[in-house]
Amino acid sequence: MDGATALHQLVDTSNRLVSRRIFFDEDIFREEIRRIYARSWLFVGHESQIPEPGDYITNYMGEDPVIMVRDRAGAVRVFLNSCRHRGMKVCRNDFGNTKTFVCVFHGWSYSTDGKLAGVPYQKEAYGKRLDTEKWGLLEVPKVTSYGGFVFANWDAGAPSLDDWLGNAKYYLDITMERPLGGVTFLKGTQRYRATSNWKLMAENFAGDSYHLPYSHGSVYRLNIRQISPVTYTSAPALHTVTADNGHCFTSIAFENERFEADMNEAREYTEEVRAYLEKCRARLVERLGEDRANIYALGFGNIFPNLAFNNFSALRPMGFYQAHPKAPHEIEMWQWCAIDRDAPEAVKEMVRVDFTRTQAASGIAAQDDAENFEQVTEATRGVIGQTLDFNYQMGLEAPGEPHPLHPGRVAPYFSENNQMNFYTRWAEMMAEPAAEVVQ
Amino acid sequence: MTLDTIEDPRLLHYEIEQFYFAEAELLEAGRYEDWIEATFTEDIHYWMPVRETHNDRALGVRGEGDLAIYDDDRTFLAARAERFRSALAHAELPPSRLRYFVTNLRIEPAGEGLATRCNLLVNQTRLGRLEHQYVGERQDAFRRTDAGWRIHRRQVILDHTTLPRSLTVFF
Repeated sequence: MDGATALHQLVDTSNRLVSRRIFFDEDIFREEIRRIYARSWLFVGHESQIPEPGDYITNYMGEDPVIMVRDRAGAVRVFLNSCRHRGMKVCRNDFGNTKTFVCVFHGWSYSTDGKLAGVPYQKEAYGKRLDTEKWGLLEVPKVTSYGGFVFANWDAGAPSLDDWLGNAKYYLDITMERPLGGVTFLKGTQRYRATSNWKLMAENFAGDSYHLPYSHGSVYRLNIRQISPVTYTSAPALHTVTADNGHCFTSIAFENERFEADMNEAREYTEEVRAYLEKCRARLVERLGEDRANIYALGFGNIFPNLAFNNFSALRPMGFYQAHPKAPHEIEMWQWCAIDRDAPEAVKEMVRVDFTRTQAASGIAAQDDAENFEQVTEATRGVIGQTLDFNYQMGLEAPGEPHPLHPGRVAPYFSENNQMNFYTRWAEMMAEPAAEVVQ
Repeated sequence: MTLDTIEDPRLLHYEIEQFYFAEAELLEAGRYEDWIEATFTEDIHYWMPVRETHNDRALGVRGEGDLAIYDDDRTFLAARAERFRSALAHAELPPSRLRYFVTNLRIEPAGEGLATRCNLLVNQTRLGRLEHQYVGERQDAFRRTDAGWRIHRRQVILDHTTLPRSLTVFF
């Protein structure tokens, strides 16, 4: 797959059609790992997961396993999890604290700043011919933390994270600033495999408000706390916001509806909870101003390429989801729940339990999504199935307007503008050369 | 009651084993409301922690305040059962075919009740091609009620750190 022409034919932005091939073609998959994953700012973890020097977690950047570690001096670094001698993983735990990463194959060891610190029998085996300075762990050249969210980019020539996020940062700031004690990830990473192309999961978060009433229809009918206090039944309040560089928000309420819904729900909770909600909003006003405070919670969305999120309320979890590409039609879903460290204990508890019951691998929302992706894959991977296009024409008549107060293009809730935003960015990056590191 | 007061521990083993076999039959049939009724007390805490890979075995099982896969009370278990019965939960319509294997039962007295552990293998086949196995351990706390033995705390420790699929099955 090469050249902008061929890719342009796969993503038809004027008719809003996307070739099914981009979800199932092995060659396209290989190219997008090189052209998108090796050049994008990818989420690798949150600083609250590694508070102490020597703390680490492992993750993936595309198909490459990485270690995110706080070195002995306190700096957050990201390394390819692979010994420079013969490639063995130097860290096989999912998390922990260590002074060194020791390769169990031949015993090379690395300090937490990535330096090659020990080579067994170095004098006998190498004499003076091994330049240990040159054989430290491969470090991701660009690492930036934003609100504790650590993003890394293999492309040394990539624009800054600020430039990459563009006007999406205006909205993301709301998630960063509302928690009084900052965003704090609960311990544990939940992982499950799914039969799906990674883009099906990304676009589901990026813009698929339309699947909620039907796919998740059963959830709305149960007599439980609703996943979102402001639901699609109040859809005029909710908007699609199409942001820069393929980033998407799909459930934005501008007129303080989400805060009001929280306060309404909190009538049945304690005074402490109501006071907490007031404080959250006051803090947003103080830090970001009244207009952004009126947004209060972002709903759901996707930061290109594969960091999805949802947060409907200060009384609901902040969920973060990463669909790691494993094959054209296989992903590994990694997901985390974040809380406000300074929220009342009762709120922290309801947030944690809510995440498990709705968004976890067993969650009543997650279950039906997996069935969709599996059967889309089954019905689309055949040679005839792949000759067709997916239809993203919802929103052709309302492609989005500038908002008088807020950035991005704003459109009605039921819209596929964001999916097209995602695929437009995808096609742009696929038409550009791969990062130097993988050329 | 302690095991000492039981005339024949073999009889107790048989009784609990039959409890599990009857439970499995209800789960295999998708009779989830009956399953909840026949298995759990009103104050059931049904919990499955996240597993992760760590040199220290204990640290590989995440704790109570950490991320979990199931963390239900009776009300929410009932909501899940209602959802499956609603004909709107298309992840289980058509229903999966499930088979439960319960083995290696160990029983200890625990105050007035029992603490049991057993190994669990659940096989799920679904539609034409999907087939997954889930392997793990149940740790149950039993209490004697007017209706017979019931479980008031179930911890399911699956062996998987990466689940083969999102879960539509109970354990």
